[in-house]
Amino acid sequence: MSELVKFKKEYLLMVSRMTDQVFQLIKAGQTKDQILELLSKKDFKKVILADKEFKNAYNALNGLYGKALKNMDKFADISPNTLLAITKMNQATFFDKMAVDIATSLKGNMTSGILGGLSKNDIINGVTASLRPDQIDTLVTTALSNYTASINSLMADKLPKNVSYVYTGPVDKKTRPICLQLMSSGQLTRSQINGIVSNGFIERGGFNCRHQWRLLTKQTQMFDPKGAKKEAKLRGISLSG
Amino acid sequence: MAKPKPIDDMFDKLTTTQKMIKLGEEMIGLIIERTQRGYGVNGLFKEYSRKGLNPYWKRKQRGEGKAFKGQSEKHKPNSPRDVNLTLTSKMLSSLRVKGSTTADQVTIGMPGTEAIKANAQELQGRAMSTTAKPVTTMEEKFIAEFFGKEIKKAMKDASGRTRIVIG
Repeated sequence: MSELVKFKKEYLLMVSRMTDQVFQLIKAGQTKDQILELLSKKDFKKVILADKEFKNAYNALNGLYGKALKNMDKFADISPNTLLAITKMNQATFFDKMAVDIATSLKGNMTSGILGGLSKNDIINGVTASLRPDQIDTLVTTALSNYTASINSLMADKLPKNVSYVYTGPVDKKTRPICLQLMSSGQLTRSQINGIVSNGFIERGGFNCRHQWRLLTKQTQMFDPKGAKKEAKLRGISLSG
Repeated sequence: MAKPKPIDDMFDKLTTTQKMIKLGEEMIGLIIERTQRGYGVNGLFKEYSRKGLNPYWKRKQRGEGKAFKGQSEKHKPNSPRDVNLTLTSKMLSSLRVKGSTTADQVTIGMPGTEAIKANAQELQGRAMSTTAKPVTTMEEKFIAEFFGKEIKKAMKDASGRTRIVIG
């Protein structure tokens, strides 16, 4: 079983465990008011990060960073300390965001569920519907993609500063306005890219972005600035800023 | 602010390692272009299966369902012969210069998750590149001619070591 599958399984189990704990309170005779007060005071993020099984699963997920690192572009040597710092920062940002998302979903669904007198299963379904396992896939793949992109960015330092990059990938009705803007901008240096969108060289169009920055060569494919302008015009998107 | 300049225009000022990075990028471009035209390293890609009432190529053409979320509109097939290994384009876009590029070696490849997809296609008779034959003979000639003597020499020196990693 892959690290990601295990992680999603543990996520579902943790949701079930935490919901179960609340229903134990009902069984123990606590009133709705008492439970709601408890829920409002509880730091869900802290509870999630302290959950042993869940912690094990996300520690295993950390292994994916190692795999990503092994497979990333490597234009030049980077010091191990820098790599370690980037890895730790990316992991911390990712897990913090994940824990906040899960905590918000759990707290919201439990509160409304208890208020509405929903069953345990209804609450679990509510939590997993507001943060579905496939959305966790997206969170993980985007985090890893940003991680490799941040390493690439570091390695791009080894190339001349004014070398031009172009935004490559599909142009169609699904292409986000920001991606249309980046592609229609044509040739850009790395600092120009980051001037258009903060950290745009790494984060590109955001979650599940289908685009990549590439060095512009005569062989560069899937680079269609005219098509991007046309698509933007068709959809009434302003590319001025 | 520095004006962006294509790497081609600063070729003479690049270090040999930087030239090798550019060579890798050119090779990636050639591979993507050829793949999207329907040609693998061993010739035309094997066409999609026509078996069943709802074969894969028809589902890809319609783009219905979760499997086709984020599908690139331009790369939908018109027939079972229309094989371009492009669904969202993430797999082909992930081709990268990787490994320690040196003055006499450049390696291109893709991250593990995307390499699995490429490998699955290879097992089905659609190899865009293999370790034994990374690029076609025409591509080799084109690159050698395009880069001129210096890189030609570098390629010669690297003979047997220049490789494309899939997986």
